[in-house]
Amino acid sequence: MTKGTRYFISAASMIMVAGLCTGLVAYYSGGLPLMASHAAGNDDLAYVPADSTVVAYANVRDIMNSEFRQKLRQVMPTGEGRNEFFDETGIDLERDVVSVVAAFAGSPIGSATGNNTDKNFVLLVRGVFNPPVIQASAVQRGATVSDYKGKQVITSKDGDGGVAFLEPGLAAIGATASLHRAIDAHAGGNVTGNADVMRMIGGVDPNANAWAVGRMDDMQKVANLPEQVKSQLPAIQWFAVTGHVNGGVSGSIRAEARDDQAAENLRAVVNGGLALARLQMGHDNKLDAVINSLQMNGTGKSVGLSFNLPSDIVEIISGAAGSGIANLHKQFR
Amino acid sequence: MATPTKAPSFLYAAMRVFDLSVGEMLWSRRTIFMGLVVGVPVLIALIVRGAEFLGAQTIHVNNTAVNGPAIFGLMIWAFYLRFSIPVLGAFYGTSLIADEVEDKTVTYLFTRPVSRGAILFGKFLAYVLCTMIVVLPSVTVVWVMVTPIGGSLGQNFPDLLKDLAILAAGLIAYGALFAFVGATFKRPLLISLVFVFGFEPAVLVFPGYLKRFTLAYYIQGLVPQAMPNDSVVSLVTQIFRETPSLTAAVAALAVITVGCLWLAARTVTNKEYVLEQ
Repeated sequence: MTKGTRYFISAASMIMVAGLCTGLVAYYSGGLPLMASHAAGNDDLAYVPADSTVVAYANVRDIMNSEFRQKLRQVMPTGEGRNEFFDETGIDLERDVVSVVAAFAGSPIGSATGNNTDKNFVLLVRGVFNPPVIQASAVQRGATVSDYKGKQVITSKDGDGGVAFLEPGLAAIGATASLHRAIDAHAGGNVTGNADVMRMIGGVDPNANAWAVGRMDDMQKVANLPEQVKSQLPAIQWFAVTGHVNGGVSGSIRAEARDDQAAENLRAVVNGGLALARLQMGHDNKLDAVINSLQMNGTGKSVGLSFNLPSDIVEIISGAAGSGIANLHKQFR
Repeated sequence: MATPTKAPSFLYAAMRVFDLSVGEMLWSRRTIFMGLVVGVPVLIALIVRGAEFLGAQTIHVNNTAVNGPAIFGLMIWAFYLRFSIPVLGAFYGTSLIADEVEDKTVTYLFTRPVSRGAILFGKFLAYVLCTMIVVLPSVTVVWVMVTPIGGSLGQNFPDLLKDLAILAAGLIAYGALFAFVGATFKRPLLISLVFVFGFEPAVLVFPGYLKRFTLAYYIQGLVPQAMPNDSVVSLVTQIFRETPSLTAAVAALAVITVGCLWLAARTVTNKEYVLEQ
């Protein structure tokens, strides 16, 4: 072997060893800090209880300012819900809210089997608030104000829900017990210590302005899913939905299956659906673009599907939704 | 009268041939081709990384925003599994003996006091080393550059190890198969390319047992990344795709490699190579 050959082999081996060592260090340290992704909304996770199994985030300001939102606004009636929320809390969703983090734990507080899931739900709202105004408005409606570990908690008249001001610019909305749990979580035992949830959040695209991750069995308790869908779900353990809303909507859905075989079966199901969709192509260029954008990916137990809805399609969908809502209004008038 | 020296053992002879062949193989014109084949993914990874560094919010493939691990998965399939591995196997594997025949040097090689099988085995080891030291570092560099875009190096490290092992197994299996083709047939490269770009993709599209006579069936079934659905053919392939178990795939690849190498050695030992004048 000549000297040149030896040098070449040594250089190639060194490149490979350097790459593998980088990967090994990242693997044992849970991802290199400078290289790992950092999903938006991570700062507020300190108030999310450790046993939360579904966590979602939305950058409300980004979404409200997006072209998508403007188009939606043109065709869909807005205002009633927003006004009601404003009257109740003094918070203008469109103007005052920057982002929201929603967290839900599968079992209700104080019970391992109950179904009253809303008892274990908390919404963390980051934005510009005026606590004294909100407090005055709530007290006028019969709410009571209490102090829990130094944080102000406003409980509604019926005692079911309330608002807590956790820090300047951060409020929590939920059942009183959930608010207490959020305050407790900040002191220690929050979701950042939950390796499974954080692993899913770690995989979220840091540029996404909306995402949700969670355990599938707990998601079934929240969403009223059809039986045919439910029967397919035991194979899925975790899910992550990521979206980037601007002119259109692009994003991805990722499911983590029970094992490699379950993931392979799930890929086969998705592929069948995609093939069926592709057979319908050729009639509408816009629809073809959407179908072409559907891309399956994933490794091992993970199955992913990314998509892109261009602004034209969003207009069509929002137009259809708008006319549907208008028809409903007519019928109920 | 001088006592005749003992003929070297099979392994010693193979290592001597390996030592001589590595440099010869590495600094041949084929290496330029190999450099291009594995250099393109590195160049694309550099462009993707550069775009991300310059502030590109998201990388789009087929109008869809994708993150680093997904891009890496696509590159593994498109550049390495479907192209580099079979093509390098075909170009280098067929040349192990065919080149010696073409250059009319096979007579000199076979007059050496070593078994013909050892010559083939030594050359095969040289092929494995030459292709691996070029392909595997290229994959590692692409992974380090692309995966951190919206992904984590730590989380995807096990998949890199799997990919490297699968690519190495692919290089060995394709090399052994095409070494046999090179030792047996007159136009081995043509036959190999028809196998890689004609027979394998066509058979994988249809349901049935025929796909078990391809290497792609066993290699692609082990890949941790999902097969990209970049064309209708890919989609149909995925629908009729069967994935062999890890044990079955590894056993099949081992049997094919050992079987093909044995057949190639047997052919080289028994065949009389007639040199064209």
